[in-house]
Amino acid sequence: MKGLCWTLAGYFVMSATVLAEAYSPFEEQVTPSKITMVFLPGGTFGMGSSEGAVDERSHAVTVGPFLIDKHEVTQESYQEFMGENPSKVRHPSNPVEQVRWSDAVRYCNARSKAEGLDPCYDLETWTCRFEADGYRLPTEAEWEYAARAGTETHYFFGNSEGKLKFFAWYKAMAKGRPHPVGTRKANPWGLHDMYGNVWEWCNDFYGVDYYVHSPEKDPKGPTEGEKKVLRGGCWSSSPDSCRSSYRYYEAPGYTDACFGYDIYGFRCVKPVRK
Amino acid sequence: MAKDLSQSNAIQLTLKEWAVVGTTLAFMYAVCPVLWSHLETWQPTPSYRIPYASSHDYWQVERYWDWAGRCEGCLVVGDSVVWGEYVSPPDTLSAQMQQLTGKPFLNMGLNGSHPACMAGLIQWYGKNVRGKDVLLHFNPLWMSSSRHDLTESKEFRFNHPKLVPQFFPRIPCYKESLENKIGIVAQRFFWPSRWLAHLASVYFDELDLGSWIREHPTENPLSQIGFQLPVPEEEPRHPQRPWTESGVAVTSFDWVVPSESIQWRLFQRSVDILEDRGNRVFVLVGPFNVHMLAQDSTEGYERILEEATSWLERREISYLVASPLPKDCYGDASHPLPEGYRQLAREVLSAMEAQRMGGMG
Repeated sequence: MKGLCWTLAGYFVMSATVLAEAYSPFEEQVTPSKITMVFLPGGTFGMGSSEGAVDERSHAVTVGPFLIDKHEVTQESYQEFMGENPSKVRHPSNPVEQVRWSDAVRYCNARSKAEGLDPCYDLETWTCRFEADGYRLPTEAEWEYAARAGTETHYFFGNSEGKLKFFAWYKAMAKGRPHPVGTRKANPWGLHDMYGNVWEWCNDFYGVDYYVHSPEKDPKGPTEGEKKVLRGGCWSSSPDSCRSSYRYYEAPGYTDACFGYDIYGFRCVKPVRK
Repeated sequence: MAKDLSQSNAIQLTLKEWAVVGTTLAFMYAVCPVLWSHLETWQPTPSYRIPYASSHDYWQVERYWDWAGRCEGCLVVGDSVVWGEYVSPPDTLSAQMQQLTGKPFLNMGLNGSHPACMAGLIQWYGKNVRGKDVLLHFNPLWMSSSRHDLTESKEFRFNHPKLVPQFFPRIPCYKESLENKIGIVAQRFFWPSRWLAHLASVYFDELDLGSWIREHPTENPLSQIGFQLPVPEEEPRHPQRPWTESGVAVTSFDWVVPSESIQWRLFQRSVDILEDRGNRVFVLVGPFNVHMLAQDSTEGYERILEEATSWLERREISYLVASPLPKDCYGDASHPLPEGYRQLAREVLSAMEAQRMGGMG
């Protein structure tokens, strides 16, 4: 009996901590949809850059633990969940492009439903329920935390752009087109194409002065706005646009087909709760 | 000390031999594009439009403009509104006008184009369009934000960068290197460069030969050249549903001021070039989807229309500001659906008839 009590007590203690420790930091997980994600433990980091543009004000931010796609969402995956492929340069392993923010969140919900998870997005109001356990777009802070991989320099490999060609498909060497995901080196946390290939949609609205008054813990962007944040640069970007702190933005739903550029893609995150 | 070339394997050409080499190269330079054009099968139909896949193949685009310059009929020039983003070739504006009149109207729309690149297209690759009736479309959409007007300073990848002015007027969001800009300018004058880009576009998955061979090491690149050009896609590029069913909301546009607009300035340049070449230009403005305009952005839109029409009147250029189409005739902010094109075609024909243009009146 005494042994049983100790076993039960141990079980409860274990169960309280097991979720947080289910993953080792930077460990890869393959989801039921056969998509590889990387567990990031969360922490405090310096977001923005004191040498960057006016919207990149440097400040400390803390984010919680989460899983993030190792690669940008591929055309094969998008086709699987959405039954269509809007991309201009077609290849199953290429990142999906010409996707609107609204298309990206539809994909997140479809992927969540396929795995029996609670979808994060209300497709009527286009708001994100952060408490849901499904897939969503990263917040801008999560994206930058993942891209920086513990570094404080302009790029995760240093301040000079010299090594960018090893890690990114960008203007100087992409030959005017996106390329299959994962064909450049990963960042120190195992994430590919954080720079270049396609711009990645974030969940946040863009606010030029948002960093001035954003919360220190888990900032989620302005509550309303006209544009959504994009990060990481793309195959046609200059090295400067690929910096970890560089911010870009676009309207979430194209008002016109002419604005459907072949440079916008995304990757998903999934919350991990203690 | 002078080297003794008689002991060397070097070939020293005489002046006469140099002249032969020069003449041969000049002959090849002049004849090869003509020969190649005969080898590649290409037969435009009355409703032909430049295939989506060939949008950046400026060799082929130039060839089409040359062909159109020799044809009877009115040229309908513009962006994807003319090209027909949401419709198949028989439902485009030019095709509808053709069906209504029985007279030839050629679809010179280029997918992805905008006024800044259209000016370059007309200037560099439309040289043989002279003495024609030209219906030139102006889409106010391109002035709906500083980003799409190309006046924003943040780097922006817009379509057809090779067609826009590389140096003047300066385009703030265009951050191409000086070396590449010079290469782009050179391509406009040197056809072999455009021809190689054409081969890459049609036969080598948009890759240069070296890259293609690296990706296909076991295949013979010559076997890829089938002398068959892409044909226009029959299907519309997007589902033909009204914008109201696509989740697009009423939008507040940050219209730019016409006097500061790059797109407007280069649209004016297009008109100037066409007129300088003896063409009779009729400008079609819109029809922009005013149903999508939020209350606070109607003023900026109307200011653009006022500026555009007053400039056209000052220049004595015939024009039509298209009447707004019914709400459900738009696929998005600027592209009509098939019924929208039908209504637009009737209105444009009526206006052109009044000006005795396009074989009308």
